[in-house]
Amino acid sequence: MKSLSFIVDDEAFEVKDLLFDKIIINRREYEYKIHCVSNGKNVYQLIVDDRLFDFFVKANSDTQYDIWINQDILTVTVQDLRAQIIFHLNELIPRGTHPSYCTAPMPGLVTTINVHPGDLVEPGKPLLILEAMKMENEIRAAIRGRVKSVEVKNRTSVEKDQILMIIEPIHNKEND
Amino acid sequence: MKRKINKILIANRGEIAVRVIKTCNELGIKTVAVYSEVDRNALHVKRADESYLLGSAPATESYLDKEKILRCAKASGVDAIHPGYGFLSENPDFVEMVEKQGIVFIGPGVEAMRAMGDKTTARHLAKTLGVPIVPGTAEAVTSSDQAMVLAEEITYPILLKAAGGGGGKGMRIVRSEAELDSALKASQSEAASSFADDRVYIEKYLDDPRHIEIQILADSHGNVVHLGERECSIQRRHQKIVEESPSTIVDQNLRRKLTEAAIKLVSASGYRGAGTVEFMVCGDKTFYFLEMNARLQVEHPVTEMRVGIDLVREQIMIARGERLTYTQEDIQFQGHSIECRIYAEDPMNNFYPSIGEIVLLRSPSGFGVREESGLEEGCEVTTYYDPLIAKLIVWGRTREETINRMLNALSSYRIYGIRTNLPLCSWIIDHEEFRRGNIDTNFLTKHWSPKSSPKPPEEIRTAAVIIAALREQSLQKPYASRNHVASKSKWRNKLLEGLR
Repeated sequence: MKSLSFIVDDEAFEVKDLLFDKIIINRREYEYKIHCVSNGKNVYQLIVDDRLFDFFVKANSDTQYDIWINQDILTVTVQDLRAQIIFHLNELIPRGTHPSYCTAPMPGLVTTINVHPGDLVEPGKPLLILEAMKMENEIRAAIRGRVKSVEVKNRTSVEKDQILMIIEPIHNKEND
Repeated sequence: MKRKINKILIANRGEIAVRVIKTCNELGIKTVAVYSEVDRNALHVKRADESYLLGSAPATESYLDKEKILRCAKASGVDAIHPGYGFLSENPDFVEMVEKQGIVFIGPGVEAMRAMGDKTTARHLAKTLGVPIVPGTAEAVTSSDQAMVLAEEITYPILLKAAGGGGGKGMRIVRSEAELDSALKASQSEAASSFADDRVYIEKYLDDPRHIEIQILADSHGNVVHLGERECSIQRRHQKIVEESPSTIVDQNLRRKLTEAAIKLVSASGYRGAGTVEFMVCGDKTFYFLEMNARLQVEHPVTEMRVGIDLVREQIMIARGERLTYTQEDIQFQGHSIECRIYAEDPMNNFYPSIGEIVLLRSPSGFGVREESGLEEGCEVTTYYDPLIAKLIVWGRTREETINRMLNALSSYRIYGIRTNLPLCSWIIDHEEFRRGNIDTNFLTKHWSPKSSPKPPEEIRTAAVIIAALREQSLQKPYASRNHVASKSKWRNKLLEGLR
């Protein structure tokens, strides 16, 4: 098989060989077994070098998923060929023109919009308030940039991952 | 007057509804649950003797709809309604509607609820009883000379606050007289530009206060007892996370003062039932009355564990018109208790709520360990209601024993399918300053950042990589395995379908 690379909580791992009961990760070999936990909920057991782990996988997107293992939850990003191509394409797009999408991290109701198209935002600036579970959640800017468009209206419900705003990044040098 | 209570409707959901049902079962009282459309499969619905649909998911259409709840109460023929906490528990209009139908509301009377629910009335009552309240000026200050006199009276540090609005605008902390004049001018001009109103008030500034509350039980025959204090200083944006009893700052002398003040307030307001009087306590052990909660508190089990009294049972007994069966001297306090609130929110990602199906649930258990939860495998956590999904309460002979027991219980808790604050709870309980009892309401702001959480151990990360590799392989079709027969591969591929 071809090699696979993954990012697990900011650390890179490379899988060179995946056999039925053996795997080589970062040049080290591990023995493993996998079983299904029969509660009908896709919970599994993994045994690595005789140590047992319970786990469950939930996909966030095609290339990223969360894994519940014992008392931890880890986020895995797949760096396969396709993901790598997309990644490099993003790199090739000149900075400052590639728009960044601000999306809803969860379903909820938009209760306040703090910015208007054309506004300059700094990382951490509250963009809007999304109400879910009776809690007001501030959605903040992740990057420095200019608000290109606001894609939602106040008092409307949004789905998870729905685009809320488009922000055009501003390269620091532009304003220096 | 004695009143019959043989059947109770619980006008709530989640862990507290389940909690109330347990006590009713013990007392041989029939229970009626109400639910919204999304809660059809919730645990409280399954645990009750009867369940009635209220309406669609939003609380205003279901758990806050007074008429619908009352209709269910009449249809099911209950004698009483238990409101739990939140929702309609402190709504005097609802209490009036319920009592008008001849149904018992398990809680205080309307007048006491109104008096205690209104902050200014409660503050005024405290003042007349000689219970300390956060000192401050009733009128705006006009000159810096006047401010100086008032600040002297209140004692430094003081807080200058704009009368026209909040949000920190015009707010200044002043620690000495030398700073006062310039701070007042700055505060006034900021207030004027923000709210077109330059009036500024002076209030005592409390440096890193601790939140301490006293649990009270009062029957309708004038008997009032306290069940000691709970410390709830570990909070985030006024949302409590960890509570314990006894508090590490409360000594015999302070406990006597706090409990006396609480009993005075409760007696004077004609309060009946279980209630909580909240105080702010400073490092020098001065204390101020904050507010009174006319209901069962989320953290009531912390008290139950130490005194061995079921507070829900007492609420029902008091509502029946019975007398407390013990005096203050009969109440014995034993050991230490801590509660962690389990929230469906992700501390690593701005505390955003986390929703989804619970696919695996393994609750901690063992000596001194208690879980109060509204969860079961297969249930769905939605965005409609409070993110509090469960509570973990432990008891131990000493605080240290309790801390270690709590850490062990937290680490054996498994909730798969949603993100929770379990790792944050472990981090708090194991923190050096928490172990020392050196806590206040700014604990999290001072000590915690997303980077504080420990990284998962090496073997867990390795396991994650194996899982990821298996998942990627199962997604690639046709399945290709170099050295195994096709049937084995087929079987494996079938097994791995659930990873996609």
